[in-house]
Amino acid sequence: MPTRRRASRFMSWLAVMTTTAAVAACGSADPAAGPLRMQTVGGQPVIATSSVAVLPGQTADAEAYLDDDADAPVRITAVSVVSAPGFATARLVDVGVATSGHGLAAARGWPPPVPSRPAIGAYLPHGNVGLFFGITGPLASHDYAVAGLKIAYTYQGRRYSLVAWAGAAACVAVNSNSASSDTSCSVFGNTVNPVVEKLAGLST
Amino acid sequence: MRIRATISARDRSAWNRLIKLSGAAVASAALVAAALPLGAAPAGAQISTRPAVTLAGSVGTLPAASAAVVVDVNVPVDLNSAGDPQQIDEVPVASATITSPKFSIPVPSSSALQQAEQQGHGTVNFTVMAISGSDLTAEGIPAPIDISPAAANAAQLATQAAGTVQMPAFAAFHPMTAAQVAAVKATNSAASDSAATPDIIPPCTWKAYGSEYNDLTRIGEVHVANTSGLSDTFWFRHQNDETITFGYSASDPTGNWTEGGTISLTDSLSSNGYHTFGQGAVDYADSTYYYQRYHDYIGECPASYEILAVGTSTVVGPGTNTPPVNPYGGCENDPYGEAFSGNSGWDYDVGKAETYSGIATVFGFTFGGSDGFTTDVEHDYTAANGAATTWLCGSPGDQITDSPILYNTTG
Repeated sequence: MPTRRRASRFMSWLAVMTTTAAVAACGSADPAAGPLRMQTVGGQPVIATSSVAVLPGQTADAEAYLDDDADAPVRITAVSVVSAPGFATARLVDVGVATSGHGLAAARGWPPPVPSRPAIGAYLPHGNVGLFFGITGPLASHDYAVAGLKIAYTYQGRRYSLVAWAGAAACVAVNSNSASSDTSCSVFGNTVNPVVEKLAGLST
Repeated sequence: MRIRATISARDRSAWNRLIKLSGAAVASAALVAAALPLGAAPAGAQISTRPAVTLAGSVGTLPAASAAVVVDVNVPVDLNSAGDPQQIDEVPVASATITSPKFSIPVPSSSALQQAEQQGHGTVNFTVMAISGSDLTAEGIPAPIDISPAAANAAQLATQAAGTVQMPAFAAFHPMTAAQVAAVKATNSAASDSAATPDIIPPCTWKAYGSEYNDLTRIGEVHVANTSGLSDTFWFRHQNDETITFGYSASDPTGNWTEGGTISLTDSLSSNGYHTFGQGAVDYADSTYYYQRYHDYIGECPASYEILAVGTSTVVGPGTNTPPVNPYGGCENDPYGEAFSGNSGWDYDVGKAETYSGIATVFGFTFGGSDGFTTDVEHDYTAANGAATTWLCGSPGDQITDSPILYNTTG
């Protein structure tokens, strides 16, 4: 159902953009004290960088690894991307919350190939949360990237925000035959990864 | 930044940095290596009201009515051109007399401790030796004291916050050698009975014995789906902290080793090493490590010989033998499996260390080790254009983000 999918994608994009504006207006949010955090191992945030060769309009899908330690519902109200300095910023197309244990290392096309539900307005489960997101870029033969997501959410009547570092790269090709080679996009992802790690404060 | 070029230069910065950063300080550490009366302040101490760390544990059944316990901080000195310490001073920094197996010894701040912290980037290698009558036992352990929060793992942060390091069980007391008895007696009053628990345990000096030896040493493992176009580049990052066992031998530099505890090699590489493993790889990843034996020519140390890992290299390659495959038969069956499409890449820093019981055998001693704190081991998976979707997962029951081992399977 291409038409329906396009419409659905547009609505999702609209929701993301609308809520992004809401985040920008959310001046009273307390970004530091909320219960939503990045997952950590060894005292450091869990970060993976995905790089996916895509066709125009197709999404490169990745995952941010979150930890919800709230004892009351946490509800996502908006999500936007965080730019990776030095790289063209990808556009956020859609965001989803994992609904099974399965996660997303790297995939293309939305919805992703593992179960998820729309993130905007979603109440998060307690514990580890996989937040899937799809990005793309406007120009073929160009590479785009993000360093992570800025997530706005509410908890017990208060608004919070969190920057979740999660590198993602979308290498947009003219067509499948001319798609960015796995090597070139992977190499591009390898250049994005240390930038993301540095932003996240990892001792790389 | 990672260095993509092939890297083969060995590096000993774990030891080198000590001298470069605090050469003069190390020299002074050697100077404070003096006998420490039990219960007395360490030589050169600048005691603060709060101990830098407390070492606690049990030395096991005491052969005599009491035991003298001394905490030594290990200070490597006299580096050769390759960067290997030709001498290791064990500087007494705290002590106690105990009448039951358990001990809890606060280690005050001191110049020697601060120097060891500097060289270990916040981690200090201690040796705790106990003498009861004419028997002794000893155990080595690294302790995180002042690791920056950004570089510490959860266990290290917890230990630093608690301020106490719980030591593992000590080896059973065994009789001191004649040289050890003589050294202890010489340090204590001339009239002391050799069978009595001493008042003072002398400092210990290890001298390099023979040349260094290098050997392939297991640092991790790699699993790549048996699908065309799949690969994994295993990175061994230069911030790597290695926790490695070491050996003591009472009389033989080529065998009869017993485990003496563990040490930490911190920031042991000056750059990064890597190796790309191709389709279907189920391999251990090895690196070249450098080992050195040391000899106690006087009889003041816990044993006559000691064997240690003193450095690592940036060379990474496939090791021998084959690690176990994913127990689910495939990551798609793993409840936490992650989809990995073709024509894509996935870079991930493994945050959790895997411990191996046999990472290398050198001069008859089999080392055990734990690699990878935080961002020190990285996997870069690549799926070529046209490659089928594969799956990634961690150890059974672990989410991929909480697993020291990553698997990649076709289904």
